[in-house]
Amino acid sequence: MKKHDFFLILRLCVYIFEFFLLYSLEQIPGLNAEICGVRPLVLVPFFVSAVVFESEIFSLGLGLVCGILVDVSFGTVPGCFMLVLGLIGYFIGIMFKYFIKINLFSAMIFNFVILSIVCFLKNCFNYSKLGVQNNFYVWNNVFVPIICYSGVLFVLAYFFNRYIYYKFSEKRG
Amino acid sequence: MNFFKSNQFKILLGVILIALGIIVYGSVNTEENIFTNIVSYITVPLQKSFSNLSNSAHDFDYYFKEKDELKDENEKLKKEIGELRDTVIDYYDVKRENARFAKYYDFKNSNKSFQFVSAAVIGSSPGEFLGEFVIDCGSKSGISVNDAVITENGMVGVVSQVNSVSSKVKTILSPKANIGALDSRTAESGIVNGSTEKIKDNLTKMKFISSQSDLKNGDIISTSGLSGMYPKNLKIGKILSVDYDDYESSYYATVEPFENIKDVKYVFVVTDFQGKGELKIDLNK
Repeated sequence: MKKHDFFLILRLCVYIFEFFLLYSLEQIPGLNAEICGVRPLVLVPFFVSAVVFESEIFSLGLGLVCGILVDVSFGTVPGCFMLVLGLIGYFIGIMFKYFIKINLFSAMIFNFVILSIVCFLKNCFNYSKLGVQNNFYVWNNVFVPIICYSGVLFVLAYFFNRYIYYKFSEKRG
Repeated sequence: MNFFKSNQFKILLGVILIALGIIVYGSVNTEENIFTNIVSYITVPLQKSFSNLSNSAHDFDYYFKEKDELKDENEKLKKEIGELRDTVIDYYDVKRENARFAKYYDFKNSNKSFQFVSAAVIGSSPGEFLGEFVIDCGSKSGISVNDAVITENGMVGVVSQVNSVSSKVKTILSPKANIGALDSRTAESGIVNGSTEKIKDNLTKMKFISSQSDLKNGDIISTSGLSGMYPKNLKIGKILSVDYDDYESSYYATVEPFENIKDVKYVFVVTDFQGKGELKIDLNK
C-alpha cells in the first residue's frame, strides 16, 4: 500500500470515529450548555472543517457518513441528509481545491451557509406543516440561535481538524 | 477531459443513485430501517455510557468537594475514602433506582393489565425544539410505535419511531402529538397537541374544546383512551387557562404537565394493556 493511501485510510477512520463520538456527545441532554434555550449542532461544523482540507471524493464520503448521522439525529427519512451533505462535501472539496484559499475566514463563511441549509432543510422535512406563524417563531427562537452557536464552535472544529489533517498526512512536518 | 466521462462523475452518479435508493427504501419501510438500526447499534452503547456519566456528574461533584476537605489526610485514608466513594455511588444509584421502581410497583398494582418496559432517556437532537427524546429500548424490548410513555407523575409522550435498540418519543409538548384527553371533572374531551411557543415553558395545549365548555383552571386532564392506542385515565396535567385561538378559530386550554418533560431521565413504556387496539367510540351515538 502506498504511503499516501495509508494516510488517507487512517484519516478516514479518524474522521468517522470523530463523527460517531461527536454524534453521541451532542445527543446527551444537559451536556452541551444551552444558550438562548438551544444546543449547538456539533456535527456540521466538524464536517465542514474536515472537508475544506480534503479532496472532493474523500469529502463526498465524509458527507455520506455525517449525513446518515444527521438523518438519525433529526429523524428524517434515511438518505435525505446523506445525499445533501454528500453533495455539499463534494462541492466544498472542489471549491477549496481549485478556487478558494483555505483559511479560517473562508471556511467559516461556508460553515454558516451550510448550517443555514441544514436548518432550512430540517424545517422543510419536519416542520413545514406547522404553519407560517410557527415557522417564523421557530426561525427566530431556534434556528438562528443554533446557527450562531454552532458557528462559534466552528473555530474549535477548524483548528482541531486542521491538526488531524497535518498529523495524519504526508505533508506533516 | 470531459467531466461527464470521468470516473469522478461515475462515482458521484453512483452515490446519488444509492442515496436515492436509501431514501425510497426508508420511505417505504417506515416502521424500522436497516440504516438507522446500524447507526443505533453503534451509537446507543456510546450514548448510554455518556448519559450515565452525565447523570452521575452531580454525585461526583459532591465527592470532589469532600475530597478538598480531606486534602490533609494521609494517603491511606484517601485510598480508603476512594473505595468508599465507589460504594456510595453504587448505593445512590441503587437507591434511586429502587425508589423509581417502588413508585412503579404501586402504579402497576393499580393498573394490573399494564405491561411495562423500563427505559432511560439517552439523547435528544440539538436541533430538536419539539421536546422529543430518545430512549434506550426498541423493538427488541417489545416497544412499538404509538406506545404510551409514562413516569410516576403521568404521561410524558408517545413512541414515534422504533429501532431495534432505541426509540424516539414525541412528548405531550410536541405539536406532532395528538392525544385524546378528557377533563376529569366534566368529562369534556379534546386533543392534547403542543405548541412551539409553549415548549420552553413546559406547557402544552388541549385543543378543539367546545365553546360551551365548562373547563376551569386547576382541572385535571387525563387520557381518554377512546382510540384504544393509549390506556385511559393516565394523568397528563392541569389546566392553567382557557383561551380563544384566533389563528385556529377555536378554544383551547393551556395545560401544565405534572412532569417536567425536559428533566425526565427514566421512563416506562406501556407496551400492552387491557383494551389495546379496541376503538371505544359508539358509532351509533
